[in-house]
Amino acid sequence: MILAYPDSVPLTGPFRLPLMLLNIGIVIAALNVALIYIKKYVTLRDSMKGTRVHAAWASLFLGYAVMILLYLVGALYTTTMDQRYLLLRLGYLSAATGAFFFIYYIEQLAYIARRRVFTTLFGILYIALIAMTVIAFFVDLDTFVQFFATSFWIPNLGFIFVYIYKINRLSIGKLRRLSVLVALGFSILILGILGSTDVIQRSLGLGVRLIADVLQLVGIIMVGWFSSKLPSWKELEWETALDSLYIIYKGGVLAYEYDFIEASRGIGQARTSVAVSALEAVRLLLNQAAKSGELKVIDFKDKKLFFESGTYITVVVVASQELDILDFIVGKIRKEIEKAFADMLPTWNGDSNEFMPATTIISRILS
Amino acid sequence: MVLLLDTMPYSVEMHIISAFVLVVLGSEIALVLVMHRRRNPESGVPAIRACLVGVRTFVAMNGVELVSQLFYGTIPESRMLIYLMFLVIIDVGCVALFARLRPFVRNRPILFRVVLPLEIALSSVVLVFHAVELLSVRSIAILPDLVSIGLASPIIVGPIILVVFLYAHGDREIKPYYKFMMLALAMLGFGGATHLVPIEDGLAGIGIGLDATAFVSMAFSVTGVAIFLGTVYVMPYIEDIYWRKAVLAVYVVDAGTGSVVFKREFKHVEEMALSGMQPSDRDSALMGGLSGIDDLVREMTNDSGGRLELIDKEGLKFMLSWYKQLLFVAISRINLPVIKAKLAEFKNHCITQFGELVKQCAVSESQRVDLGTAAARIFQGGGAA
Repeated sequence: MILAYPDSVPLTGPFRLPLMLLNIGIVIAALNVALIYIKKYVTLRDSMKGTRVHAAWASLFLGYAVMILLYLVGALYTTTMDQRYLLLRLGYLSAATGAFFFIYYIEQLAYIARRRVFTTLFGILYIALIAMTVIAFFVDLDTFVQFFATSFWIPNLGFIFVYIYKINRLSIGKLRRLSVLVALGFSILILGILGSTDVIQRSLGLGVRLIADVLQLVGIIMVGWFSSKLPSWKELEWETALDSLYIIYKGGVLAYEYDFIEASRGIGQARTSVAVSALEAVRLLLNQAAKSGELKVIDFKDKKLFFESGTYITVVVVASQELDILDFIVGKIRKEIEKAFADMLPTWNGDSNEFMPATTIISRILS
Repeated sequence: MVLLLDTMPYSVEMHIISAFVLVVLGSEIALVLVMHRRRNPESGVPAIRACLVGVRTFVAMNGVELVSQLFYGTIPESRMLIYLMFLVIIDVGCVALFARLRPFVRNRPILFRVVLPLEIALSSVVLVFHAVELLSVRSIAILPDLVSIGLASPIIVGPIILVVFLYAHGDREIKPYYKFMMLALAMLGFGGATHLVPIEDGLAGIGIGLDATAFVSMAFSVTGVAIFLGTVYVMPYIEDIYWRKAVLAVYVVDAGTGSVVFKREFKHVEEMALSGMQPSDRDSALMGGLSGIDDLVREMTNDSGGRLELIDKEGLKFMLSWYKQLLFVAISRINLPVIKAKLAEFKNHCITQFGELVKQCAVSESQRVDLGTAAARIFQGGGAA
């Protein structure tokens, strides 16, 4: 009986060239995603937006790209099954190394589990895989290593989905949709990987492998594209960065104060009122001296002030970090308050109690 | 016309892999360069346009090769046909490249008025010769092989010279990236050259078979394009490279009184988008405002926020650095860590050079000149005050 691929190598027939080009495409796409994250990791490392999440994604995709490359060489350019299995084992090791560093970097941020449960669990499996890969040079363990390598992805995938779920919970609006698309991309990628296993190829044929490879390519592009648009953890945890909010009426009168730490309307200390009024005067002075546009951010070492000016009011938010999302939030608060108090603002009599309902508006926006 | 899908000769498969990778990565490089150009319309446009011509030529060559190999790869005569198509595409690329390089050498009259127009004319004539050879499938051979290859070489030598030029004029931080680009271009040139029929035949004559040549060509081309793409991606953003253009002025201010101890403007007032008020009034308003903000916000935050470091006023960024009551300010169009680092370097220079005098705001005219020279050197890369 003549054995066909994957029970004999190399892969020949009408599927050889399409699978070859498709797999090269997968390697290129995965390396591209890795490269984009490496760049982010390197360039944002010392900034407020940089986190180890970029290094985590980079290692995952790098490991995956090397794995596919080794699979490809194993399928097309080997002459014995032993040679193919050797390349497969190295492929598993490469993907596992990428996954290990992914878990290590993410869990280092202490957002998933504080006791590094996943890193420890996956570390044990990783060491077992290394040991099996070495033993397989002397003892025939190929099928077992294949099953082991496939099964130990279960905790890793669980981890990835927990991570995406956490992002989803922390995100709002468009960002939440993006995290769903990342999860969808991952699901497609996993479906593709499962479809390209030897078991499926033996039972369903190489046509299914072709579809599976297309799914992998689509999955990588989706994960790479949408995950790169997701903000870093620091951006997602913007609520903890908020300190206080001030609404300054035109001319420099402090109309409203909100303390995020105590979640209450401020008591309007005279000292703060004077400082805020003087700040508004300085803002106007700067606007006169430099015509470049409105004052947006004042950045102190540990405090950042975000400004958003409207027709009658200026909203100032004091935060502990400079985050892109705060710019959006300050703008939204200003718009909503100007809309809600549209009748009162042109003729405000200086009574700050009239701004009491602003607390509800702010709470609604922040929730 | 039949699409070949089954096992092919090794050399053909290597050429298919090589052409496929080069088309995909080449298209990506072109896309990245187009995006760079759109995002930074004022920065390095002639260089990027010239690079784009090179990359597009390269993608076209490999696209033609990929399609040809997929349909005719097993027919021996197809080698010559692909080679002739390569030469025609390279000639078109050379004409476009020389045309794009002209604005880059506008201030070098000999290159601008004589050398490049001559090159464009020569490449156009060669293009006609090669087109005739292609249409006759080389039954009409006009140019000897060595002359054809020599005339095609500017397509890779041109970009290498361009990168050498950029290397010579680039900032120290960016130079290593240009070295990688040179290496990538050299590898691509070598990989492409070993794929040309006369060279393949010459190597076959000394016992190096088509399979080996195809593998070497593929390995060099794929590695070269991967290095090029990697360099383009990892390279700092183009605005980082051109940060010097973004710095508008530097000030040293006595925060206690708000008076300006030293100032150096690198751009005209209108360009700085500063108001047209009297310079002394404007400086007082600006610097008084900055030191006032520091006091007020420290008051508001009970001194818990540290000192003022940056003010973002849409088109203008005021970067601040403190030394006791002295305030060092760099006014810039963009907020980049490199400008902050340069401001710190300037501050250190002032303190080590003038120490107590700067602290007491008692800087003489000659010392002011020295500070101006230092500011020009640190922020503009020049030496004159």
